[in-house]
Amino acid sequence: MNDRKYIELIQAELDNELSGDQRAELDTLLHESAEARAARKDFRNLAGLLRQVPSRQPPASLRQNILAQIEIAGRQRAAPSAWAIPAVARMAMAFAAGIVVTIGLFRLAPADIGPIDTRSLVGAMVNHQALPDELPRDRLELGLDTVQGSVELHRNNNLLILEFEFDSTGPVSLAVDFAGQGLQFEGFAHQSQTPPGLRVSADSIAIVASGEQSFVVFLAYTGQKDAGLEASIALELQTAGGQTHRAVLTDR
Amino acid sequence: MDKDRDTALISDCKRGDRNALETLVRRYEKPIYNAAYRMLGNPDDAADITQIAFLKVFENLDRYNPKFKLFSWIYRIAVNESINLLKRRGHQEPFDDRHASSLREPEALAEAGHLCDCVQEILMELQEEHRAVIVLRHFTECSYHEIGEILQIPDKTVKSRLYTARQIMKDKIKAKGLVGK
Repeated sequence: MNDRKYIELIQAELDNELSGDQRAELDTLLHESAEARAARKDFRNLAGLLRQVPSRQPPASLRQNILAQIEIAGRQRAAPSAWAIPAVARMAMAFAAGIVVTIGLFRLAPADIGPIDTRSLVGAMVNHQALPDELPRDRLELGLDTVQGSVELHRNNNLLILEFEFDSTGPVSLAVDFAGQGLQFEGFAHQSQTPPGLRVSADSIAIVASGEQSFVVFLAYTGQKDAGLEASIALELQTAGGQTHRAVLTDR
Repeated sequence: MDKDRDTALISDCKRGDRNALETLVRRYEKPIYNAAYRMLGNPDDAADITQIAFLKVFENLDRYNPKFKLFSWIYRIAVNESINLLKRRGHQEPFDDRHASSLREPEALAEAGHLCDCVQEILMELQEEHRAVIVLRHFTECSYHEIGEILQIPDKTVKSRLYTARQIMKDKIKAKGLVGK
């Protein structure tokens, strides 16, 4: 009997895959071959060692994160074209498409250039008065192990525009909290291949996203903004591993 | 792992039964997380992969074929996603070996945590295809046939990869003084 045969039998025994005939064959072999006995001992030692390794407890938040993500995905599946966004928000989303294009154009253009050459442009035409500030009011760099990118806060008259661009190696939960800031949700637009999950309440938004993401959240001041008021938007980012990071973006 | 119970759960999940979904997650969350952790060596990545695996299962419930076991399907997603993550990174994350200096001491080996670190370190040194068969056989107790189904390779290949992986591990374990001194 060759080495390969006895190794196969020893492995089968170790893996509970030995048939009755093979059992007898292995017993004979072990009786006759010291080499086979030594190999069997080695394999058993390894299996015994691996059995001693305790299983790990998943993070306490993992199950809830999974269920929350599935719930959001389920809602999107059920109503892919209506994310419970009011009519005004849907209009803002159409407006958003134009803004997203235009932000890109403004960043590419040198500050002192003349009128932009629009001959080769394709996309929405946006009134100049509707354009957001060229420079963000505030900016946050995301330089985590699992999430790389940025969040920028822009302003256009009464509208605040939160622009998210990041790449994550796993699901990321984002909470955008604007309680007590005199703001309301106005719309959402994305350019991501995998659309983020979105849940909107009166004073906060929960977003679950994964992979390469580019999306915009619109918030509007509900009344006439006081000259001295600087709305603050609290961001909380949680990775699937349970790490939480917090930051505040301010409309300065 | 009861195939009939899983099939019933899947049916309930398809009908939107949240309790069934929760039962399914509760049943497989820990084994999937552990398999992902053994593949990746990092708890945060393991949690991410576990989430991705469940989300993909949910998104493809309609395509589930009851001929196959549910856990084979989830493991397949988790293992493939783990391998994809490792490939995207292009290199292995260095395993946290803060306790490695004490691994050779017999008293330290008595501590399960240190043993766990040492075994994980060895696992991370294996090629992904070898690591996968060891994880599925020794940490999730899958049969040859189940491993073959999960990795979509013939049983014969499962046996051959297991043999190679075990030989490598055996030598590394001896070198670290864990057994066979």
